[in-house]
Amino acid sequence: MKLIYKIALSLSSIMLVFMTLWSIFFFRVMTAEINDETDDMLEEYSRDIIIKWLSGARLPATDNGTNNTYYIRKVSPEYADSRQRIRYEDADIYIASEGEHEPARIRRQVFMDSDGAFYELTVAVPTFERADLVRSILWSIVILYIVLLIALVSITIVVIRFNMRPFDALVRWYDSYAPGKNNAPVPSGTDVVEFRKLAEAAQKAVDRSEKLYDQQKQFISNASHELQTPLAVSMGRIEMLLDSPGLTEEQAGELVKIHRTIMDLTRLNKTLLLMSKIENGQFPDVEDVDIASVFRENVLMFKEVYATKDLGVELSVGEGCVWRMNVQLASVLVNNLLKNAFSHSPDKSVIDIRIWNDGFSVSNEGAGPLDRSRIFTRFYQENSRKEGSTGLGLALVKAVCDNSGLKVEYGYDGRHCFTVRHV
Amino acid sequence: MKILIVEDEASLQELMSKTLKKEGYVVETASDHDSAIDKLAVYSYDCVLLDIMLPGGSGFDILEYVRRLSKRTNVIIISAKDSIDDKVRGLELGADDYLAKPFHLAELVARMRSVSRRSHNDGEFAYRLGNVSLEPDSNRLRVDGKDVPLLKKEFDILAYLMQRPGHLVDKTVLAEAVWGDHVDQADNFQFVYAQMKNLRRKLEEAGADIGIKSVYGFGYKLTEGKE
Repeated sequence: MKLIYKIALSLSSIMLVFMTLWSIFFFRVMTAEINDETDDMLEEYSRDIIIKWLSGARLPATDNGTNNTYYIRKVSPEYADSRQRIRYEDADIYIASEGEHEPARIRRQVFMDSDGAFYELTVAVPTFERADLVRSILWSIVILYIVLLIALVSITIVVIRFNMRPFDALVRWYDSYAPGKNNAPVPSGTDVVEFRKLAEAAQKAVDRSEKLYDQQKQFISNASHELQTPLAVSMGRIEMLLDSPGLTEEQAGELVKIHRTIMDLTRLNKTLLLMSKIENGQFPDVEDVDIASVFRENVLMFKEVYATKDLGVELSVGEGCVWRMNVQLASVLVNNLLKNAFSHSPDKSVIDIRIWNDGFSVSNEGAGPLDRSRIFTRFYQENSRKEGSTGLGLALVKAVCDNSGLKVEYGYDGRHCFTVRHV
Repeated sequence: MKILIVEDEASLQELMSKTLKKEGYVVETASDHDSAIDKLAVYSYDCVLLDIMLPGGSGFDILEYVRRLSKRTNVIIISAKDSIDDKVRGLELGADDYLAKPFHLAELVARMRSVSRRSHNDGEFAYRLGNVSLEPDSNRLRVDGKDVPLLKKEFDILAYLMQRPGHLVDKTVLAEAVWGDHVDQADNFQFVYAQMKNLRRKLEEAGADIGIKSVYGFGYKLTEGKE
C-alpha cells in the first residue's frame, strides 16, 4: 500500500469517528433546543387559553391554521391531586384539520377556576415541523462531513506529494540501483533535514556496498592472478620429475595424478579469471555473430569427444540468428551450454538444438528438474561433483548473457531446456 | 644457443633455467627490469624469455629495448595476465610468441624450438626425427621423402608429440592441446585412443622408424626406433 493512501485512509477513518461523535452531540443539542422552544411556545399558548377561560373571554378557534390544537375537560379533584400540575409528553394525536393522527408534543396542565372545579387543558403542536428541522440538520451535517473529508484528504495529498518529492526521488533511485553497475548519484538537493539525512545514509550504504562489491571482484581477480605463478611452478616441477630416469610405474602414476589435479586447479583458476573479466566488461569488441555457425563449429568437436556416449544431435535452424556481441563470449556461451548438454545426457539420447530469429534453445534428456534458483550460481552441482568439472559452466553462461544483453532461462518438461533470448 | 630468462619469481626462474639447461641451452637469468637491461646492453642473446610484470619496470620496455638493439634476438613473452590486449601489444612491439602462465615446461621448450627454427630458415621449417619430417605450416608429413596423408586430428597429435620427443605426454594434456579446453569433462579418452590407433597404423604402413609408446596407460612418448 502506498504511503499516501495509507495516510488518506487513516485520516478519513479518524475523521469519521470524530465527525460522527460531533454530529451526535450537535444533533442532541439542536433537538434539545428545539424541544425547549416548542415547550416555551406551548406554555405561552396554555397561559393565554387559561387566562381567556378564567376571564370568560372568547377562546381562540381550534382551527386557526397553525395546526395547534387544544381542548379542556373537567377532572375530579382526586385526578388533579394524583398528578403533577404540568406534564409534557410526546404522543400521537388526532388532528381534525388533517383528518389523521400525527406525532405531537403535548402539554397538559391542571388548573382550578374560581368555583373550585378542576380542569385539564391539553395543548398539542404536531412535531412534523420539528422532524423536518432535524432532517435538514442531519443532512447538512452529512454534507459538511463529505465536503470536509474530500477537502482535507485532497489538501493532505497535495501537501504530502509536494513535500515528499525528495523522498519519491530517493525511492525511484533505489529502484533503479544495481550494485556494480553505472548508477546515478543519490538524489539530494533538499533543505529538509530528515530527507538530507536519509539521502546521506543511502549514499553511505551504497558507497559501502559498492566498495565491498569492488573488493570482492578485485579479490577474485587478484587471487587468481597470484595463483598463476605457483601453479606454473608446481606443474613444471612435476613435469621435470616425470622426465627423470628410473621412475617406477607406480611413482609415475602418482605424479600424473597430481599433475592432473593441478591442471584442474589451473582450469578452475582460468575460468574464475574469465568470469571476472566478463563481469568487468573486458570484452568490449562486438561484431555480428551468426549463432548457428558457432553451434555448427562446436557440435562436431563435442560429438567426437563424447563419441562413446553415442549421442544424437538435432540442429534445427529456422531463421538465422545474428547477434551483435563479442565473438569470444559467443563461443564461451555456446560451448558451455553444449558441454553441459553433452556431459549430462544419458547414453544414446538426443540433444535438441533449436535456433530461431532472436534466440536459441539447447535441451537434453534428464531425470528430474533441477533447482531453478541455484542452477546458475557458481559451484552448484546437482549431484555429486564430477571430477574435472569446475561447476562454473552455467555461471559463465549467465555472466555472458548478463553482459551481452541476453537472458538465459531454464525449464523442465521431461527434458532440461536452456533458452537464450535477446532482452 | 644463449638464452636470457627475465622472471622475478625465483622458483619459476630456477625451474625454467633447469629445464632449458637440460635441453642443452646456455641460460642466464635476470630478476628485475634494470638487471635485464644491464645484461642485454653487454651481452647478446639468441632468445629472451620475458615476464611482463617486473620489479622496477614493465617487460614491454625491455622488449622495445631489445628491438632497438637487434632484430635477430627472439623474444617470447611469458605473462600471468592472459589477456588479448597484452598479447596484441607484445606481438605488435615485435615479440615472437606469447605464453600464458601457467604453462607446461614441454610447451616452453617446444615454443623455444619453433621460434628459433622459424627465425633461422624463414618459415619453411620441419620437425625431424628419424626418417620422419613434419611441416606444420603446410600440414605435410613425409616419411623417407614420401608424402603420407593424415587427417587433421592425427596430424595435430603427431605435431604435438614431435615437438616433445622422448618426453612423457599426459593424454589429458594431449587431448586439451588438440581438441581444445572443452574436453575437460570427458570421463574417458576413447577419442584419443581411436585417433592414436589410426596414426600408429599409418606410421607403420609408411615404414616410419619412430613409434608412439603408451606409457603406463596414462600417457604417450614419441621414441626413435621401432617398438
